[in-house]
Amino acid sequence: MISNTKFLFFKAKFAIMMAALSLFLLGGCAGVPSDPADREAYYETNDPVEPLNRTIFRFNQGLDSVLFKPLATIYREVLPKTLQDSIRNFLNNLRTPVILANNILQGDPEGARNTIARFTVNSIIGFGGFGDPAGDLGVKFRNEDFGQTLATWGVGEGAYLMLPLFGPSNPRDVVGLVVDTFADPINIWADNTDRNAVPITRTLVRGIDRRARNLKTIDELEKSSLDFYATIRSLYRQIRSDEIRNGDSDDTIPSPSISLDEDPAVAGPRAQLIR
Amino acid sequence: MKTLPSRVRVHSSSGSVMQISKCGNLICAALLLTVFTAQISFAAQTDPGTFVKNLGDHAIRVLAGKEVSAIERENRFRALLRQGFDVKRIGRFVLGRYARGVKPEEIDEYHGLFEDLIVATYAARFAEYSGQKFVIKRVAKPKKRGDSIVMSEIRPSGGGPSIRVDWQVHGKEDAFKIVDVRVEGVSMSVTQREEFTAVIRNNGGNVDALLGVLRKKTKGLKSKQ
Repeated sequence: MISNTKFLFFKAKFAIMMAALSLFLLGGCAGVPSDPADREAYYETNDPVEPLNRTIFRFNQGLDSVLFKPLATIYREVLPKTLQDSIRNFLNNLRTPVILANNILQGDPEGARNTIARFTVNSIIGFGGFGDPAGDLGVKFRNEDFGQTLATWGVGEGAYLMLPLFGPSNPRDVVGLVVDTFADPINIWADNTDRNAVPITRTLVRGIDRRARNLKTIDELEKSSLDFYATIRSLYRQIRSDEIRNGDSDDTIPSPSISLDEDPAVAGPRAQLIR
Repeated sequence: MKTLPSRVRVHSSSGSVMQISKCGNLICAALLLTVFTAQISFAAQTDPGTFVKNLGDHAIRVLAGKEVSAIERENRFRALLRQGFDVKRIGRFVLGRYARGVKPEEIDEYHGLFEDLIVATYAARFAEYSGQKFVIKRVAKPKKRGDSIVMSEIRPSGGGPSIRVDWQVHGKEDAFKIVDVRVEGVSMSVTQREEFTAVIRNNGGNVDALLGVLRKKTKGLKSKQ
């Protein structure tokens, strides 16, 4: 059970986060541009607080270059590849309760079955989750989170947000992150037994592992990009929508039609807003 | 070369691939050149799936491997790009509504720079090719749109997760052109458009600013050799 004071502390933390969020939204708000071309770009990027987001992005990049990138480089160069894989498998396995809950909330029995099968096989045959025999058998890891669950319930993403430390997000995914964090049994256990280092270490290692795996990709992306902030924004939104569809290359995706011989007008869900 | 999947050989219209795996580096390069200059016509395909498969296999055949020099790879990539992709259409798409703001005398320069950027960004990736298999999964034909979506997978030779790649193919029989490539749900055209329009918008809607950035970028990315 969570004690009364702890619950109040949770509430306070949550309130502060929400207050910060609304400040974000009010503070950086720029008006909708009047020029039609600007307006199209404005709606397509879904980024009304862009100036503030760019400032946070620069801060994150600075932090990345002095802290996370060096850490990730050391992690990748020093640790053997098999150990890196084991760490990742273990962290993925720890996420099981959250993924399973979201599978169920999304009404996805097949996903739930896979999550349970993976947990059972990997915990027993995979030495407590350090191996991934289930993945080798064809049941691949598929992450789910409450942000995705909200999306399947029809909640819109809201404005694009750049969070300090955590990177690209939006109000829906912020709520998802908060709910997942507080609902995670391991976090609750750590909180109840005053092991605050556990969730922090876990988040940190997960972040470094992810950064280490993308070292080359991110470098190349930055090198070839004309506006790295815009690239990351576009990638985040596209990857999220792909995750929400569970990678389903469905024919009905409102993918932007490239049929603009006469008029390069944007197609898709926002088209009517622009024309 | 020896790691290429067998299907590559089946689709080889020149028939010289079988010999390539046996010959030495020098002859190999010479042969590749003949294969390449023969300019296999991709237009002569009757369905988008075969078109994408042949183009992909051909690209691997002439671009992959460390023995191809960076300059040579870029030249070959550029030729394939022109053959298989509607670069002009994509170039216009990525400008969004700003396409109207391009001065007539700048259009050719813009399209040239855009092509240079694609070549500089993607050609070098073929150097790291290590026997991945390129498999077409299925072809979807959305009702409302003229374009077909060819769904494919790139499978690493040593196992591991495969990469989903969807190709949006425009045009009818005998004249297919790719207008978008989606990797794991991320559209190259859309990403590029958001980048380009961000540059233009942050410079007061001025397309000249984009041209300036493009000139600098393509110059910096050009392979030094």
